Amino acid sequence: MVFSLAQVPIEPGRARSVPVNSGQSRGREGGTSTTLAWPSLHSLHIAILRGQSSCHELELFSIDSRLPRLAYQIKMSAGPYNYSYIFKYIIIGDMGVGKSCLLHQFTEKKFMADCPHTIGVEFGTRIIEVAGQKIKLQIWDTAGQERFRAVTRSYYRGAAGALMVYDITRRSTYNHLSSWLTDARNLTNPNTVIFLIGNKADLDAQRDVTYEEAKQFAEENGLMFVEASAKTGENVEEAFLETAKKIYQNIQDGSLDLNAAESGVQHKPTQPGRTNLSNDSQSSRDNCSC
Amino acid sequence: MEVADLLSETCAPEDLKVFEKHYNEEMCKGEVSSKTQFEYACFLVRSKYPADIQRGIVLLEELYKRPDEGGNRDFIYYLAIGNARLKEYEVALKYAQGLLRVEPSNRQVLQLEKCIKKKMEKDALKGAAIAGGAILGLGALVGLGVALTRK
Repeated sequence: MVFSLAQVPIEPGRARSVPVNSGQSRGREGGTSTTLAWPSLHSLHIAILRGQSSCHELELFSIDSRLPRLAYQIKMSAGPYNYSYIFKYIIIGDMGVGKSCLLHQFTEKKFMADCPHTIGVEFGTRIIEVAGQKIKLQIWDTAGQERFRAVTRSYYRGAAGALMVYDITRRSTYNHLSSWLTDARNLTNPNTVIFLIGNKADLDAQRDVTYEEAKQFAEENGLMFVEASAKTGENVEEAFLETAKKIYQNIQDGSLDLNAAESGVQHKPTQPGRTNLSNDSQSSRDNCSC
Repeated sequence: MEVADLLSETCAPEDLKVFEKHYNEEMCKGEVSSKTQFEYACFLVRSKYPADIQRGIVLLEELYKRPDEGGNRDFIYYLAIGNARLKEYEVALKYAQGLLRVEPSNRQVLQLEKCIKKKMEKDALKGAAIAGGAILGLGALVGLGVALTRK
């Protein structure tokens, strides 16, 4: 037993092999643990060491197999899952339209009055429920500044949902939508649900874009659409939830292939052995997250 | 809200290659624009290889020293991320806290700071676990030795 303990790669930087513990991980998903037979003290150590060493192994592994970076957040080692799917979202749109405020309103149910420009990308999560299924939304909020365009584009890949935001009081942000839409279409997969949000709906007096024209734009381009307010919270929840419902629906009717690397959706493996290697590696990697 | 992924997610190698090419092309022409260097550095610090991250840090430090640069807060933020990814937590914290002196309520930076601190604690815990394992192993060896000698 003691020697088994010593064999666990304890120096993450040197752990260069493909994970050897994926089988054990699978066991744990199913609610049983392969370390059960071991004395509890030892199991504890193994769990800690394994968690950390697999981080690096899996990091290498997921890069090499070009897996999408969309599902790093499953708390696998922390007991049973409390959600069935992970959906990756991105939020895009011009600078200052309120992308971060929408995210903050959605995750914290609070309005940030004074929000500095996002640097690169910001990240948020929340667990929601669709049709009785718990779904973890993993949201990448991108910087709107042009200087970050190249950096933020690299986060589009593998998104299941894209929230495209403009500011109803600033026409220019609406006029730029076609460029954002082109990016979203080119860099995501055909099944990615794109939801158009006209933010700052509370500032109706300063409105510069009518509801009707935006609605028409959305219809012409096959987008879902609402006007929302990150300040009052109006329609914020709806936008995020409707997107998830649509993604879920795509899964149910089979139009979204979960096995496709870039689907942006990860299913919680329910039975040992059902999961494929990629799911496994992504899941285990979550031990990294804090 | 979690920043964990910002410290563990990596960029696609093919993306990194594209920006490396831009950078090298401009280098050959004699002058690299701040934009190109920044973009390359952002991808470098998200690389899986520590050597790339290190190079990204050097490029960011260079950008920071350039006169008349408008993106200083961006450079510092990415310097914090790069250093945190290299497990240089003390340095990373210094950068994050430097940003917070200017923008004390910046939520994005506050989260980054929190996450770096968490990673630090986690590493300390890991150290303790390794030490614990070593002691167990040593104990077993000694026990084995004693048992053998007795025989």
